[in-house]
Amino acid sequence: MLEKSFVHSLQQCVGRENVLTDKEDIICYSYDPTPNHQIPEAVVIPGTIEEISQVVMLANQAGIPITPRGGGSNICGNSIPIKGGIVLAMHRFDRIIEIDTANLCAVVQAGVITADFQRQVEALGLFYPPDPQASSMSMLGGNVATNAGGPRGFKYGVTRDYVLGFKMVLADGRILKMGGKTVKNVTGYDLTKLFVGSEGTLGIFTELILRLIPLPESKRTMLAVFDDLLDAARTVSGVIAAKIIPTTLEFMDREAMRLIEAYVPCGLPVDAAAAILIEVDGSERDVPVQIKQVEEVCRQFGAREIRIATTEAESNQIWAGRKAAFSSMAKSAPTLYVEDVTVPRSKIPDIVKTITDLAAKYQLKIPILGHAGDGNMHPIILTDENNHDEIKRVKLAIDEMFKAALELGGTLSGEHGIGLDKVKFMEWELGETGIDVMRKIKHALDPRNIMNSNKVLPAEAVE
Amino acid sequence: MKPLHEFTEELYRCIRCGSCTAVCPIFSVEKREMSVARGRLRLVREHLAGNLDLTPKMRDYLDLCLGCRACVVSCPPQVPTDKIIRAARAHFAIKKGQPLVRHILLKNVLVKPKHFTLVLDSLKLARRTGVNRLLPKTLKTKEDILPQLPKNTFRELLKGIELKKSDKKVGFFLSCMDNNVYPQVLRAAINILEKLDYEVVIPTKVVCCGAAHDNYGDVENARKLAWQNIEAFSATGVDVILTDCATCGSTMQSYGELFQGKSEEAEALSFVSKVMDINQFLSDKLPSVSECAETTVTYHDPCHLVRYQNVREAPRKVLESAGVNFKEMAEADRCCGGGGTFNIFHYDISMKILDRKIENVKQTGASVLATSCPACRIQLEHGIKRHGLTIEVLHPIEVLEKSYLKEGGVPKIEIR
Repeated sequence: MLEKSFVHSLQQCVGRENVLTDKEDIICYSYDPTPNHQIPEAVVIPGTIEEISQVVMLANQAGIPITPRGGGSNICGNSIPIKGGIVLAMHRFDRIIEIDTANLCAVVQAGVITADFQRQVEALGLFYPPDPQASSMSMLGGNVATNAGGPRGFKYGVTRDYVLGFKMVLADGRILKMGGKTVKNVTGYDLTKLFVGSEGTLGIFTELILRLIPLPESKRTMLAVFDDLLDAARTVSGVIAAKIIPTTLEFMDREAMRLIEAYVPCGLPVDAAAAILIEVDGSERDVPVQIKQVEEVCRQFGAREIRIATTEAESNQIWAGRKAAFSSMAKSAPTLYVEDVTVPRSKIPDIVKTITDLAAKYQLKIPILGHAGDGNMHPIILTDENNHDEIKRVKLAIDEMFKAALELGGTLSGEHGIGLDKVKFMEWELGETGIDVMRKIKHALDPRNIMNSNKVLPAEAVE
Repeated sequence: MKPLHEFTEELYRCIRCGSCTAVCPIFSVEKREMSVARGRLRLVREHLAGNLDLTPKMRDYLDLCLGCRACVVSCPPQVPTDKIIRAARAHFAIKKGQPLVRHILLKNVLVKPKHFTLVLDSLKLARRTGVNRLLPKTLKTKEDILPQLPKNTFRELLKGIELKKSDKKVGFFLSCMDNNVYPQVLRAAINILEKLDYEVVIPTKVVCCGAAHDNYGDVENARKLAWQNIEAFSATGVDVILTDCATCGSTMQSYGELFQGKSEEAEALSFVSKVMDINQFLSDKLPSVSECAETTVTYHDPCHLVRYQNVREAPRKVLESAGVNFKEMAEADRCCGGGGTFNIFHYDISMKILDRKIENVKQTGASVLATSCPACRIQLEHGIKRHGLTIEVLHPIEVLEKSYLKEGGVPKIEIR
């Protein structure tokens, strides 16, 4: 329990109605999409950067942990106030301050919903490509804090590639301003790259300057079906070798297609080993040429069937299955572990085989989706948190999966982040030195360890 | 109807992904986790686990739901949040009783058609004499939501109407709202059905459909009312029971659930299979029209029609048959914020939701806004007044009637 006087000071900072301490309220900030949960001691809903600064200063003096919360849609446990303390809810920061068409950038508050922002810029013929699955409920601040990716990442890059600058509140309450509207900026250390993806452990983003690009004129969608995983993987490499960069190369394995078909029949080939949904975009002139080239590559590498959408309705039909994928899985099991191991593109068949073998070994259902262009795989473990025996097997399978990904030259997380769930694997990838350097940075910026503590970095033996 | 504790499994199906936050009209205004399915389900779950009491605050959070079902439709594991909220309200009502105003509404006003009319008659009198102007501002604002009331209810008018006889009979349910507030819609429905050579059978023994009772957890009265309606129609022998009110339609279609596991279940299910929205009934019986009239019409989907009865295309087809220039609005199926009495009990939130709807209507440039639910209509008319606009709100069937009665431009109805 927070001391009354402390709560009173919080109320003075942000107003009484913006400090929640009743059980009915704080329970609703105890969870995120991961199976973790912890009830905070207070929820604070600030309205200005100065208010955040004051709240953080108070918390820092008192050593009270702070967990920033955006849309609460992350899948690594980042919004869980694991040490209690304060949840700082960012939803009042919901203003798009400026869309600057002359400089191709936008200034937004951190609580703007990603999809709302995209709609507004697209209405002006501009494009903000990062498209995490949760874009209709995630906040841009959360996307920046987790360096969110998405299917379009292969062609267009991830959130980091669109952050030109920001304002943030540091762990001691000071306000840091980095970058600006210029594309070029080499003034001092590149702190933008350091803070983007810091998962709320180094400070709280309040305002962002985001880069925009012109909206592509046109796009075309196709589905390529394969009887052999290796053919599917070779096709992906073949497309890229042909110097075509599709917007989307979405991989679905047989298990995933079966679940989708059982949920909404949309004509996916459930007897095939895999299918890849490919979308290309560009100018009206370019797109038909690109899709033709992709088609040839698919044939050359043994696709058993190719469906090219000629109308918007057909394109929607192809997308329908992929879009229903997550729902079909959520419908089939009460608990989902959504992973995002990522390997070099050429190793996709190896990691898919590893995951399929692990599913058999531990008697688990693990359908696989993935962004094949960048080797970012989404094995989704279907389980039930109340089945303790199965959860044990899930954990063992995850351990082995991460080990395999690292052995293949990959990484623990392509786009979701480390959060709580993957902390214990960090040393496998980073080694002692990597962890030490990161810890030194954390210590320098947050000596009292109040900012989203116990996330990203393993807790030290003695704190 | 399943009691709350039987929903445990469904409650644990929520994967907390947040999809509901993207579509919930209340969340778009309140933006707090307690005001969206994900949070409410958690509150109910913690209560059932013994971690949370039935506090007044918890009741407020459970009440703050329009039941629009947008979250259910977008929910990946399809948690039936609307049913869970209703079961939780019923659970609350059993343990803690109903709040006073709601108690009077559910147990006294809505149980008999006469009582409801009496209340509205008093309002009419108050308006005529100007007594309503003496209401304190907070109440006056709410009183303003109710539109100008007609001189006579439809039940009164019906006494003077000679209904056509035919071999083709359809039943028609008298909704309280249309009876008291929009009798012209019922008149239009009869006109059109008779033009199509149907005999319209209107049992006057029907009562309130029980929507409010169902919504606020008064299961006992909901069952009583439902049974009176089932009996009123069983005497007529009709195979189809039509309604022009989306809320009555969806409520009557849930009578099976209301009597689940009871001796009346079979009869209730047989009743349910006959209930049909008038748009749906007419949509394949009207001639198609090629010429476009000058009137631009847009359509608002009532939650109780589009998400509870899955009727989306039919009202648009009816409008098409009326030969108007139809223009789809953005977010046509997003809740208007009316929610029966929600707009009265939660005026400020309701108005913010309504403002977004009216803005979408305005963008179409339509001069007529069609909708198939009197509760939505009251709310939309209030919004139009609030924004100083002159758009007319009509039921699709009235649009159809107007176009058929218009001289010269009458597309001939051919019976198929």
